Amino acid sequence: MSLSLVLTAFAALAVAAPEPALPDGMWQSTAGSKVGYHVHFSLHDVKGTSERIEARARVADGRIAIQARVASDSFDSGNKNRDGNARDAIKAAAHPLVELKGTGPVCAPVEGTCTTTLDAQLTFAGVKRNYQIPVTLKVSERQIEGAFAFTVLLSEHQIERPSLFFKTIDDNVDISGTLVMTPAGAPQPVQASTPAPAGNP
Amino acid sequence: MRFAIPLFLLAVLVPHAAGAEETPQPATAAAQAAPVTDDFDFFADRAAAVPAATPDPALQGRADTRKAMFKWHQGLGLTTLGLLAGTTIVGQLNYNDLYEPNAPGTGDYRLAHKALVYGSVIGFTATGALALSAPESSERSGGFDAVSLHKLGVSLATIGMLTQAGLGLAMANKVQSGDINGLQALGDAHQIAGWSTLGLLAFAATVYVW
Repeated sequence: MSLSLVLTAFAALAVAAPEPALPDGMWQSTAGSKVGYHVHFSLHDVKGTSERIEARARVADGRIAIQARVASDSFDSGNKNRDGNARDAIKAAAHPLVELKGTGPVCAPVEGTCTTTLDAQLTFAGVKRNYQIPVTLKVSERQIEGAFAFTVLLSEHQIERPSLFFKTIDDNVDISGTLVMTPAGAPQPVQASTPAPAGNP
Repeated sequence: MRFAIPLFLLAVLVPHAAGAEETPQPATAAAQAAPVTDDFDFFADRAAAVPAATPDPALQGRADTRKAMFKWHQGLGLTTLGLLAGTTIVGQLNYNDLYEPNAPGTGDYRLAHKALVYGSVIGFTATGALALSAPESSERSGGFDAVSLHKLGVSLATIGMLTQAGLGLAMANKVQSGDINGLQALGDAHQIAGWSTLGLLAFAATVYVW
């Protein structure tokens, strides 16, 4: 076998190096995970974020199942009074967690990225509704970063929309976020993303 | 050359081994046992570890009451702003009718001004009472914000309302006693304070827009 053949073989190996795939097993969220909302109102829009989100996922048999939850009272819009009004509106004291469960096929990453769609059930303000949520996964060997975005209708979750000057906020609220997940056995920054108490501190 | 194709195929087909070598360990037994269906709970083991997730019906009750009271506060406040605008405009007409140099003195606006004053005072008092008596439902203080400006505007408007009442009563006493000495000055002050109070209340009502 000539040297050129050996070099050709190595070149072929290099070119066809497989993408890091989603290994089977349990994954859990870690620092860097966050979720946000975008409320539309004719006078001004409002955005709020929370980093007190935690998620666990299981990858097995070509499917992924994920459960994520965030403390209802943990969103920060930069205005504490408005956040208090939002907590009252979404009934955070009665329903301290917003929770999402979803399942979907595992996608095959191309250049480390792929998109899958989760069939998800969102429990928000105590009301469950089904959503299809596209999730873009950035996969590396030790970490999955999932970016998601979807829109919820407040009326679907029986939330009375707040109003200002007799104008209510829009029914649709855009939800987006990122979950950074590592294998469940990996060391985690403790309490980094644990939901905390709803209502009065 | 005969090894090149098998090697190439090997390269394409070989599974990525890194993930298999580092299969993550399940965090908990509960999570490990959970099937990949919609019916799973990966946090079953942590339900007790998150006491914060316990619903608080009493707190929610206070939140619902507060929300309802502030809904009324907003509606009544804007109504009061309308009443105060009417009071001020009719008051200006009343001033022009009674206190300007060479005023006709018909008194056509006196009754309307008085009725609007009472309406404004009742509305202002009820609006303030709703806000002050609403139960607290969660932490809201966060530095100087729109609420701070609203409270500042309403506080100054309250001072304006009290000033207006004092000036109005002083003017009425002078008119009743026939002492017109200083009546013009009191009327001017009443006029200025009236428009200022309206401006302050309008500011307090609209500050949330920004």
